[in-house]
Amino acid sequence: MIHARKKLLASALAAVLMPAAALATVAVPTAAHAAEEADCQLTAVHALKKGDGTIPKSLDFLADQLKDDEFAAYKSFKLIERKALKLKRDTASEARFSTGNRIGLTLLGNEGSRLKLHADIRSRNGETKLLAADYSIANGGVLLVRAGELEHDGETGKLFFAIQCSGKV
Amino acid sequence: MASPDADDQQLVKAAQAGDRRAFQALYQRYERKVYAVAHGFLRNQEDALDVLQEAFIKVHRYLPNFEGQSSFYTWLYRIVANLCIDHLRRSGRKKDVEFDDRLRHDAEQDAAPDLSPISALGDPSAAVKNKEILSAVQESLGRLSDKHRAVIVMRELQGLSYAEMAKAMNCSKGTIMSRLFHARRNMQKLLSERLEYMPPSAEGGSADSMTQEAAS
Amino acid sequence: MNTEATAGVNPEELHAFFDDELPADRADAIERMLAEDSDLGAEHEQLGLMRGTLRASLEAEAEAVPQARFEQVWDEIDRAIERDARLQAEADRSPSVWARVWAAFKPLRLPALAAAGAAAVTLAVISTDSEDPNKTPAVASVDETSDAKPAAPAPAPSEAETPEPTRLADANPGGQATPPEPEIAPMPVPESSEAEIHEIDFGGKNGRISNTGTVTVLYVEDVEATSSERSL
Repeated sequence: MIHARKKLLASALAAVLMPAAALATVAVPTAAHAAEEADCQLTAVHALKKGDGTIPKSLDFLADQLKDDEFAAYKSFKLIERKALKLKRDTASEARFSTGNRIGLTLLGNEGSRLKLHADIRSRNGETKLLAADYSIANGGVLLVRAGELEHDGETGKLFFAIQCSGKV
Repeated sequence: MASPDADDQQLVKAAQAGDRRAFQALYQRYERKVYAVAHGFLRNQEDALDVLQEAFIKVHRYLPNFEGQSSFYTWLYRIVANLCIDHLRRSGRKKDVEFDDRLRHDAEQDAAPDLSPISALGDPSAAVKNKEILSAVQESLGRLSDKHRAVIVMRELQGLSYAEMAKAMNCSKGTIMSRLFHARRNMQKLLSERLEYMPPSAEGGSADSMTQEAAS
Repeated sequence: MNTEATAGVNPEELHAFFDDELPADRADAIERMLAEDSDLGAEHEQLGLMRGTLRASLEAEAEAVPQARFEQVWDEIDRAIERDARLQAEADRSPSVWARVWAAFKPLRLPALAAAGAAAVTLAVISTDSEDPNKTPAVASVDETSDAKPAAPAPAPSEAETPEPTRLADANPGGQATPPEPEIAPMPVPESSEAEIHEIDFGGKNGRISNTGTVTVLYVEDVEATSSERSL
């Protein structure tokens, strides 16, 4: 009785856990097109805790992200600066911002329709690497990095970088 | 590399000297841990965030008196446990219907319930990535009485000793020992029952053979 | 034969053993029994699994809360600290009536205390004469250094101690004009911008990854040039 019950319970668990396991073993990314180049835009945004919650037109392309729960604490956003980079596969490119931060990006390839990228960010005084990450993201997807506090136009707020890339995948 | 406790001591000293950023660093270090404890007790996000807020305001007020006899972490957790217990006492809902701690699980059955579904979970941190299992644990925790849930959270998550728990709940160590025993049994029984009702895709067979069939 | 060692383990005792709450000799005895009794061993193992699963679940719940909510809570804590500091500062500026009276009588304190002490001694001498001659007379002790002072309040956090955030202008000392924004072609808009992080290094500092299912935010703290000797 106990043995039969154990089997039933074990099969119940397997039924729940199986789909995830099946996906992991079966899914093989087949690239329709290997990404050799990508266009990227890097945006420095100032997020403040006061304001009326309006997202300026210049940041419309980040509206979905800025309306996410992650930004619930912020009531206004300002575009500080935008940079464009053209990436070639496995070649590092860098953008320098007026904040002093430098952002390095490298296109590593793709996984199906997702781009694989490497990003690193240096501190404002240029001495420290704050972050180095390998990640994959949907084509055109935005990775956000919050990089500390910043005073801009007399207001103190948080500095965010939005990293968005698209390539032929 | 400095131990976390040594780091805490540095931050506490700086905060005691009026350094707000050091205090904020302490908050950031413990925000999710404290939230996890409070949410374990209260099972409500907003209430848990309220306790997090109250706890750190209280910590800041009493920081000048903190002499470091216990670790900051232990002191903080005691404050959080007390706030949660106060919160439960004040809240309208009464979930202490089990006056007899043994009521839920069969008092005559001193042997532990069949825990094979829990054994089958394997590594806990991997298991809870499965939404069904996570939901089963959350639901079972929610169905415990407030007192049972309190001792489970204080012991399993916070690691408080029986003596500390007895002080927090204003009862004897013996009561804590008994309460914790019954709380665990109830939790085990609820979890076993909950996992049992997950829909099977086929009758019989072992987990291994089903996984092999799927992969082939 | 040691009856303690061979006595059965009651279920509550096994839980106390699991929690390291038993005296050493009983704990050792149960440890030996665990090695010999597979059912007892299995039950002990279940307790470990249950603890691990509970911990992992509660931690997973905490991970699901967006970082912004914790920042909002911090804002409230910050406001409360400010409020406390303001109230403390006001209390310091307007001392209580008794504190003012005490301060006003400062020059007269010592003579007054000495007189009070003398009176107390006199009373004590008189009372011992009329009572048990063996009783030691109570003598008021006069401690000249024990002028009661209100306890120094915890110092309000000083603005000057908090490192100032970097001003954008300071970070561009050359005063170079910002180049015009580049022309950027519109990008595809995916359904979700959730990133999968394969490898990450936060440069040895505190960092966090927050994934809400639609957005991924990486949190890093910048090292500010002015902050290295401050605060900590």
